[in-house]
Amino acid sequence: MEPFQVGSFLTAGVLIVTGLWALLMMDNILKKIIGANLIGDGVNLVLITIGYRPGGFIPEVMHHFHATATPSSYSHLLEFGEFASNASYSLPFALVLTNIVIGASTLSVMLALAVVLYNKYHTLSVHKMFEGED
Amino acid sequence: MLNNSTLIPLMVVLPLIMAILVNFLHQKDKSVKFISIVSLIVFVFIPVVTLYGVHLFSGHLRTGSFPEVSKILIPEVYMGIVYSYGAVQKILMVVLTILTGFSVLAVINKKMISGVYMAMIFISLAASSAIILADDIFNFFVFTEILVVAQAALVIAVQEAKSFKAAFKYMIFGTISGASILLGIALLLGSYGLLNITDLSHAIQAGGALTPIGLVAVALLTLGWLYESGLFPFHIIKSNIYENARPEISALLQVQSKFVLVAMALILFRVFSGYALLKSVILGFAIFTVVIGSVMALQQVELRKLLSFVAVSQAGLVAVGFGLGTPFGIAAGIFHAINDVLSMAILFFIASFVYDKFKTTKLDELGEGLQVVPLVGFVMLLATLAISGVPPFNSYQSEWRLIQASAQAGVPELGILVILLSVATFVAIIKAFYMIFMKPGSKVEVNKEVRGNLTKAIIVILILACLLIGLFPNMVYDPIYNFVVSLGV
Repeated sequence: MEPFQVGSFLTAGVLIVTGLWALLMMDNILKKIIGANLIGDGVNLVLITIGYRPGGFIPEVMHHFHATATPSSYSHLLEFGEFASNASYSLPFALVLTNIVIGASTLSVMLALAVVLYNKYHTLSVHKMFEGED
Repeated sequence: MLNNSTLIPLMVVLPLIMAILVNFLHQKDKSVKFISIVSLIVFVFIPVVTLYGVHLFSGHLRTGSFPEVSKILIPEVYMGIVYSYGAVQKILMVVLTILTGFSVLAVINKKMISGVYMAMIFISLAASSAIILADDIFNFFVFTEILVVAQAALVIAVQEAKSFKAAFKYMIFGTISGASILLGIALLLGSYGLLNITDLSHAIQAGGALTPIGLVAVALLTLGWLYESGLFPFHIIKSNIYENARPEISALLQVQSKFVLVAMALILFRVFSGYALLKSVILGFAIFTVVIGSVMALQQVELRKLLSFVAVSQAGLVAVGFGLGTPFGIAAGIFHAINDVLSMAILFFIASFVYDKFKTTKLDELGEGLQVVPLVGFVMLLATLAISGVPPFNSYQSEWRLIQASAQAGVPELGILVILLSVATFVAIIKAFYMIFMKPGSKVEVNKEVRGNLTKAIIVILILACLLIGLFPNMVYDPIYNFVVSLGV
């Protein structure tokens, strides 16, 4: 594993732990939501780091390649097998993209709920909002 | 060998399209009502006529062996999403669509038609269907996230402070669970380069013992499973959701949760079938859920809350079947999930009727209901017997099989747990029955305008279904058992 990847995994770990701490320990509803978002970002970073190949090609940013390309389109550059074994792994990037969309939807619903709860209780303190619940 | 049926993806795609359509038709109640009813007929029809098979969205099916799985190479990765449709999926889909239909009809009958509300019901149906059908672990994750948002939205629609708080809690913990599942998937992807569940299962079996990374992935996916299924320690969150939704929607939510439990447990067993500790962990959490759920149900004095905890404790019983880890136990667990969702749906529909008729579900305020609605009282008594595992109803058949499976797996003590749960469930619900229908001194006014003929028809149909499965259990159980044996878990 490259030092870059180790650093990335560590950063992801810090993001996830910080997010969990904010989510479970902080009283402010907005901080909890930010914590939830940090956890998602941490997991996304893990996925991106998995897809990283040191010194590899990144198909998405190589102008020779496009969505409809077939192996023959780039045969003048590399053999398909060689390309495949040297390209960075693009599947995790697709997963991250999907997760970002899901995360955005979840975040927006949570923020909307925070607005409604704030309007009802006139506080951002979760402790005060949930006071008296069994 | 495999039928590539084009009807399989329609079970997911069609509810999504209908959700978009009814959302656009918001405030055009007649159109929403018409489209919803027609859609539901189609939704029920599709799983019935679809043949068993596999649908590939693209790519190819991997059929070769897995001699070397440690490298991530693009040609080694199977990229297409796969939906597979077997006997269990068919039974689950038929039950899910029928119960969704009943919930929607109840909503329409109460003049609560709203394009957005219907859209959320359809999205939750699409998400649950995809979870049942998916043979791709990332696709599974995406739809569990969608399901959480849709379920939260259905609770929010009640527009009460309690429901907002329940939805917020559900979403916050959903974030942890979603991240946990995705991290587990990321670790599996990093280790094996695969997302297809069948391929992963082959690859992990070919690789021998699980690596430490694999063990972390099992733990993370199990944590996600516990949340999505509403098992201990997330039982409070799930029961809170059931309690704060409208009862006819709670009937739908508990079906979705139990079917997600079954679908995800099957995934865990298929992918990590060689990992013995998984069974013990599942069994441990299942036992905690059963015990805590039933004890909490006994303490409740509010019908919806009581039913919510009963639903949670019954989910624990389904998980006990999986925890046994034998084909007999797993098949009995799945069979109990199907039986239980039917019985619980009856009780939630009765709660819906009681709420409409008496404007409360607080047991200490209710009473003398038998004089007002004798049919509903009689059906509630039958439903109590059904969910408590009394013959000739369906739950008796599944609970009896669970007891047999426990003995066969060398843990007959679990049979005692099943019997104790049945007794606790019976006591909890019969107490509610007495307080609603027989206790003298009612403090509530009867709403005479509410006839609830549709609700009555639904609960009678469901109790007949419980009786039918109870009398002819092999009609449902045999395909499930054969399916579980064919999985080789």
